[in-house]
Amino acid sequence: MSRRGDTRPEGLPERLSAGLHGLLSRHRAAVLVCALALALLCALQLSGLRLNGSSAVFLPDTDAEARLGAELLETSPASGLLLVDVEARDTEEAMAIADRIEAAVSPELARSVRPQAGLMTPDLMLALLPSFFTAAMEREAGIALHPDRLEESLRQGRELLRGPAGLAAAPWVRGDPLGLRTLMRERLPEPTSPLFSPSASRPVSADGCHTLLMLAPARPALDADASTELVVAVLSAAGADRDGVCAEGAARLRLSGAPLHTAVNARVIRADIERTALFSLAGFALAYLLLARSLGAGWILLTAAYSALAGVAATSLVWPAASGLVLGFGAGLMGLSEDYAVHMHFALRSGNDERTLYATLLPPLAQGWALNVSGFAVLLLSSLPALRQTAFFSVSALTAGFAMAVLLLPWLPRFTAPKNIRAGSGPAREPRAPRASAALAVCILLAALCALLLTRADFDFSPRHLEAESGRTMRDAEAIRALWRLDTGLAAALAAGSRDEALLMSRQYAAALRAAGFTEVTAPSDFLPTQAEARENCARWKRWFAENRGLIEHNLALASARTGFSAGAFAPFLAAAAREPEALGPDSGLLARMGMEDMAGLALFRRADDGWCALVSFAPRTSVQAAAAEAEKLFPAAWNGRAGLFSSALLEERMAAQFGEEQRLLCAAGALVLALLMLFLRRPGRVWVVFMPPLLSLAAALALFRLLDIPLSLASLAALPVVVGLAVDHGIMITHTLETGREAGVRRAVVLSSITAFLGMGLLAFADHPALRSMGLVIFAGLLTELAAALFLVPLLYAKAAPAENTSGGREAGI
Amino acid sequence: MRPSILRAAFAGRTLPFLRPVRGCLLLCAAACVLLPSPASAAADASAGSGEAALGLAEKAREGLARTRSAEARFRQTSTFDFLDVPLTSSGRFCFSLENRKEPYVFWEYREPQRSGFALENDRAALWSGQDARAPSAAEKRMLDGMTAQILQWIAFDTESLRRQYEIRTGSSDLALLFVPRGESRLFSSIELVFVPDFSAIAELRFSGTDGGRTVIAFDIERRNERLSGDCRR
Repeated sequence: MSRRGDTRPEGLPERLSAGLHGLLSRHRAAVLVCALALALLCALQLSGLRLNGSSAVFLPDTDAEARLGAELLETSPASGLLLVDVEARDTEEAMAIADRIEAAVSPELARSVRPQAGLMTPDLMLALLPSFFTAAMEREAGIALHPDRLEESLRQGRELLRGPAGLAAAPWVRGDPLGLRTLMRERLPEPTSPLFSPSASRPVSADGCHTLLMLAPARPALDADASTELVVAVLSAAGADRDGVCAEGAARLRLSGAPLHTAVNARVIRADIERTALFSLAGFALAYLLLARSLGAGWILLTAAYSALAGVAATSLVWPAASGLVLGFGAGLMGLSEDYAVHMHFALRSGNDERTLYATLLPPLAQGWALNVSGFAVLLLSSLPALRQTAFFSVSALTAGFAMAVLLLPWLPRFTAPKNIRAGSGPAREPRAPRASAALAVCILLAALCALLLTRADFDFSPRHLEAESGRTMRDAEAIRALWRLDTGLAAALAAGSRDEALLMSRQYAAALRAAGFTEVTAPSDFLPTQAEARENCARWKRWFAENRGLIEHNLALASARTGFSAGAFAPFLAAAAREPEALGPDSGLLARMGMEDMAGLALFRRADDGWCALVSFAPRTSVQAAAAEAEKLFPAAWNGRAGLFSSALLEERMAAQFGEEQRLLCAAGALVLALLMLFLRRPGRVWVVFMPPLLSLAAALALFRLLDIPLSLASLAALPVVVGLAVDHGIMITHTLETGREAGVRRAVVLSSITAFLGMGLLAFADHPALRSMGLVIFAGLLTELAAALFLVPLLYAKAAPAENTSGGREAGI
Repeated sequence: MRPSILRAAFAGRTLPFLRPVRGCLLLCAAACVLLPSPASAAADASAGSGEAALGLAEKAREGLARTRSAEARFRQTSTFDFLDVPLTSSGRFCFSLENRKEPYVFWEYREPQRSGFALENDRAALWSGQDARAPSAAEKRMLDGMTAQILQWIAFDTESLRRQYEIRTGSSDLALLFVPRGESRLFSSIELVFVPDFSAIAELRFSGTDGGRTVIAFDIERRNERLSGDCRR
């Protein structure tokens, strides 16, 4: 081991490092060119990056059904809808407000989707009937033609005319004397919402005080600006504040849907960033001014940016559509990458021999890097694409940051100047050795504390709890669901290559479900025939009517005479039935006449890959999970990967279960890090000391969450690696300082590195956004304790080393 | 896709009169009109109906406000140009608004066939002949809506009525004509003919969209008294 003042490198790592220093110093121009070229390549690669906001990346590769469901949950037309419930004193006020909203929302923002079909008329029914006129229906129609049946049908019509409803029934009695409408009954959805007001053009709630608007955004719901614009337009048009309370009257709006979530999250995140950015930037400037006092320190920031750039570029090479989580995680990881540069900066400015310092600093830095990278590398084995992407990003970014710090920074202008960091400053002036038993005792205590806190910790992996103002938005969404009976909660997504195939799949699955007792499912095939079927049915109708027209007219005349109808009473029916039938299809115009164009588009739609998807929705069930478990078994084996059941609750449950399974990887990562530490540091005493800061950070973060009664979420877990990584790095560097007696700016580097990471992310502890606050709290508690542990507690676990032990320890440690 | 939205998408999608109950429910809707609507008097204030309609409406508001319950026999006559003869039927209609939160409505045809419905609190009953049954979930939802409509008429708000209907003077000094402002599948107009002291409605005249006409004439037997057993099925 090198003694203080002895600048000659001794061990193999030191000699290798010194050799590397010599090589780099001779070819610094080439290194610079390579780094620049690499940065350019990364930037180019980055330009092609697509963000994948799908939650499917949180589901395992093997669960194709859940992944399909998750994808469709986010991309289907209905997922992007903004639902606006307007509550007012009465129907008319609610309608007036809804009118104002519709008028204010331009087509560039959204269009209104009518949540109900237009008024069905006998004429329209007869226009639709041919498309549904199957062979079975033909038989039924033949029976309806029987004179007795026809007479009975007319008598029933007559009775219908007898009540006050008779006025409205009259067109149906005349327009459908055979009762063909009954043959269509099963092909049209059941009404589920009353529409009572004579003047109502939208659905009205049972109490008459609510109406519902469905707005389909023109741009993707994940577009923050567009969603914000849309939500603001809706609220402004109604004169409502952010909570939906209207300034005048007792009216209020309740909004629900993806655009609302996007808009609310964007607003809260923006406000949080605006609030903390000033403090962060001022803190950064102050920290660098006080601790670095060098323009060369600016290169440190470049290292963080470079590492993030390289990480994202490398990730996008493997996954062209990377998860948004990767970018979010990357912001946190910049603090870890910065650490390498900070240590290099202060060490090289410490005034000692550069070559020797470089040689002695590189091994502990490399150890820190290797430990962090190995921990993340284990996560590459995860079955979750999101975790694999994050792990790959971390490995790439940390490697790039480390490489830049040790290979490039020393040769950049002013990076090592001025040489004003006093060597040997601080309390660790003499080489020391760890007190192994004391360190072990502290580690065991901390590990026990962490274990205890983990058993007491609440975990909530639900994505919805990571959203801003989730309490209010969830309450409003629940209220809308309850009021408009939108609480189905479960649907099956069936992916197919063509529209007709999707319809056939939906019919097959709906039949299987109904046979299994799910009688209230709704499938698009219930009200839409395939194109081929529609054409065939139309031909059948045309032939049947032509063959039976004479008989129909004859029997109608007979039955009319017996039931009191006048001679020409059914002329409207005969005229409509004789028209050339038009096959119902996407381009036929019949859907538009039915007012079902929008509705059909929600149940049967084209996917991004040009395929089609049909949705079969379930009636409300007490237990979505139980229903799903049964319904899942009904998918034919041939549909593997093309059919999936999904609901928000189901998705969250699967994700939570999957994260639970991933815990084994976290344990494996911890074991690998421990093994590597043993390998690097050789002596258990040092290992226990290095392990203390991360354990203390973890305990502090867990304790804080317990005290604040906040569940640990995905966001908080994502922040943990940053804290633990820094704590491990700092533990290694501080023990290095203590054991070599060579300060070389390490303490200053530890302080600056921790402070900047704290300012960058720790201040988010005061954010309003739950995800940011969750991350911030982990960083806040973790970094404060990690810093205190590294600077004050670790030295307490060291004692003055005996000369023999000191020397051997240095060699074993390779420093 | 939120599956619930898919279901919502079908809300209101229906073929009128496909289901037998629908006729009964529309009957219920018509019955709503029979309920006293105190605030209806002012409903025509800005409907351009003139002073005469306003004055009549004010009288009706005052008069109907005095009726909290009633029992009546009714006779209904429907005429259609495609029927050889008018259709007639008769029955009994009762209501009680003593407890505004729990109104009671009873409508029953007794000739030529017995059928009807009753609404009380949150309960509804439908019957035809000797067969009575509880409404299905869908029917119950609709009946709930009907109940809400009844309450809306009772708690009547002038703006509400004015927006739904254009209110004009009717065919006599005792009549008010309500013309729906929007598309109505029920009727093109309703004329309410009041008894001379405006405490009750003597006749309802519905005009259909294709020329049909239904007149319901009431013979009030009891007013503001406890409902008799004849108002129960």
